[in-house]
Amino acid sequence: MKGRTLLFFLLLAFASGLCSVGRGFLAINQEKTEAYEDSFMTIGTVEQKADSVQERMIWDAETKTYAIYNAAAYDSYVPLSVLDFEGADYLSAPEKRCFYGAYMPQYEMYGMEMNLGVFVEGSPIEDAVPDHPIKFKVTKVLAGQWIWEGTVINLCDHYNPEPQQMYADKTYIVSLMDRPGHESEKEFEGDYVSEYVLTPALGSSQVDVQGKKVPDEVPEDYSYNEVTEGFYESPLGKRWLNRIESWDAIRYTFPVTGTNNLNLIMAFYNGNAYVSSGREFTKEEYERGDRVCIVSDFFAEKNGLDIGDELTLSLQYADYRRTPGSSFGTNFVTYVNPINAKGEIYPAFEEGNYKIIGLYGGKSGLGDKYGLGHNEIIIPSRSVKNSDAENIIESGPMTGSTTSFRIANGKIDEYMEKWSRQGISNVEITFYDRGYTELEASINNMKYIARLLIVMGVVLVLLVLAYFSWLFILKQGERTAIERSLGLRKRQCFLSLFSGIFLIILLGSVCGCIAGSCLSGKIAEGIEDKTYYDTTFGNSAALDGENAWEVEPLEQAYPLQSAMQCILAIIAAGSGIAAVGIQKNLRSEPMKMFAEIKRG
Amino acid sequence: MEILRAEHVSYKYQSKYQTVEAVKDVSCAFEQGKFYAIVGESGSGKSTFLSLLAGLDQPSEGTIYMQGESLRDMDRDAYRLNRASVVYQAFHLFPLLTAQENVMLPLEFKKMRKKEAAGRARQLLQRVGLESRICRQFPKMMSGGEQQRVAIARAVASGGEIILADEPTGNLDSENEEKVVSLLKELAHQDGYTVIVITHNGRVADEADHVFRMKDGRMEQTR
Repeated sequence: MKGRTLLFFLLLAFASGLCSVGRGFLAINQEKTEAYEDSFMTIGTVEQKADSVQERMIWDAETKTYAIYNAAAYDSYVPLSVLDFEGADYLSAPEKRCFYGAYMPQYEMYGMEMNLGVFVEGSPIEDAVPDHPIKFKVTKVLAGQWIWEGTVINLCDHYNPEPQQMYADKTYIVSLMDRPGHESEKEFEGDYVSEYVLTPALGSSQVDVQGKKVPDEVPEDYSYNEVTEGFYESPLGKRWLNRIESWDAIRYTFPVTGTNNLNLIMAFYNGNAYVSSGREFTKEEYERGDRVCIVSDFFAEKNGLDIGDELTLSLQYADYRRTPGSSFGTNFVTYVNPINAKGEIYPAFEEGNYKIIGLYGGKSGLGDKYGLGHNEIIIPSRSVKNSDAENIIESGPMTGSTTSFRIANGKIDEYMEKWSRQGISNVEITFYDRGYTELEASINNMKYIARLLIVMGVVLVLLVLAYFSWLFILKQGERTAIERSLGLRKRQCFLSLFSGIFLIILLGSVCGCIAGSCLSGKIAEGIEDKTYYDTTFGNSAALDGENAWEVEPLEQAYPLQSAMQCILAIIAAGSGIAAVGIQKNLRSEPMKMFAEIKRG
Repeated sequence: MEILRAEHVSYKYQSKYQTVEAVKDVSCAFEQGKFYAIVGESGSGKSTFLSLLAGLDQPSEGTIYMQGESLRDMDRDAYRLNRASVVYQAFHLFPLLTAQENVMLPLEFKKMRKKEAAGRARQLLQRVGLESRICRQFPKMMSGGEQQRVAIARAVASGGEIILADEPTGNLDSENEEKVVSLLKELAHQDGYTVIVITHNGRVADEADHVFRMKDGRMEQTR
């Protein structure tokens, strides 16, 4: 009997251990899944495919040929609403971000070397057609850096296949950009010679909300004018003056991006930018559209700003084509023309004080369209209350850097299946999940193993309990009958048998489950010592390079909790089985039971 | 003095296919200090009647009285513990307990202290004629007669007035049969127990003071 009791104990402990290991694994993985829900994030970016490729020919005055470039062409822009379909289940609805130009003359855009071109008045030294660099004497600097009155520059209408004659006895206002022109003439008698290229400046690029260009009398490639008496009082002259004024405004124009989720901006998602102090926007701030903002720590430091301070943002234009990352670098600013179709500087459409709640650090201004622009300011989308319809300088299709959304982790396949049913072929969706898909697969594998262990453990526990309750209870019918015939009450008989069985079940399950719990904890520790997952734009590749997303191991407190659950479940099952068996014994009267035992 | 009386006792039970009336309108009385034998063929209802007398089951009809009190109204577990003990043909000793421990059981059920119970058990084992070495032996190490005497000692240990024995000599050879019957007689005649033995052994019945015969559930007194 002692041997059988010991065997019962050992088998029950083993089976309980299996249950506990399985339950522990399951708990660990469940915990992991929940914990990683916050660490991992699945976002989709949206890109409209070009309808065709258009050849663009640009004249090169040096080679006297056209350079041909291919550019994507779109028949129309697919609206964001195509992403609004049944079952999409967004955690953050799709947003197509524009960026706003905010005029803030009180702050300096430190760290930027701007090449915004120059506006000068002057005359050619002699009559000439500027189909090659001609000598041009600057008589008045209207706007621009590193150019002075009296300087003779090399001027070329480099990209115009049919440049017009310029006369030495006339004064011209010209828009110039110091840029590579004639390679052969960069060096002249040992000195570097700049070539100033006539640059379109006057035509407006303004579009309406549909992306259609707002009609403008002045062609976009308009780059110079003859200055005559009273010229600056004429509409064209006033436009020139507005443009010159805007040159200075650009120097104090900061990119502002509105979003409904900071992580929809790829730089924050992939960790190239991060909130270094203060905090992110709250859900309520997004929803209410509170006037709060996050600025770069560099910008804050250079301008003596800190968390809690306020910025007055005056939003002048909205750009729906480019991104701050590609337009505002540390060593460049993409040339924009902040003149509307009426020839005026865009009036601010939104003005307000924004409280700084966080500073971000990391990379910005590297010219990467997925990156942040230099000195970029982030605000909740809904904080912009007024329409920007009259202030759109350019529009463009949805691109990976401007359009994104968030869905629940592990739902990519489900989403794509529903998306494919929409039948939209010219929109491409790319998902980034920081390797969640791979992690989920490994977690699911572990969950499968855990469930298998639980099933095996439960079956074994039940078999052990069933066998030993037959052995210790049903086979002990004689004992019950004797005790009953000796006058022991049913309750006492019950307790006499049950207490012994219960004690073994208790000890077996406690020992087995605690051992199993320790084992599952150790195994889990070993498995997830440290794991790295990819954060690059490609999906799910595990690596340990600089783009790796480090997943910290989780605390291992939960296996004990699982062990407790297993212990309670096994004790409950064992007690139930024992109680049923004992009751069965007690139901038969002793004489009948003896008769049954006698029959065999 | 009458100690136990059955009045119009019947017992029915439902078998798989029919209602079986195992005991039919039995009336009889048992006196203190007498040795009774109930004889009959197998299936005549002897053992069922014994279980009714032991309070292990309830009559379907009629009443059994213990010194005038109906068993129906009594705590029948207490009745078995304190007043009526059963001895079986197959002894039904606990195999993992020694002879002494088996005898101690009813005493322990009565909350007697272990040491006291052990002393009383030893006395009782001596009383049924077993040597002291037997005290520490397990049932498997004893002969059938010895086992039955241990069982009788256990029955006596409860300190009641009635010993009910179901074929107590059924598994014994003639020598041990004689010893056990003799012991039961002594217990009746010397110690004042009312001993009721179920048997179909003529020799045992011959030793009884009174004999009842059961046939098809009915009982008649033959002596």
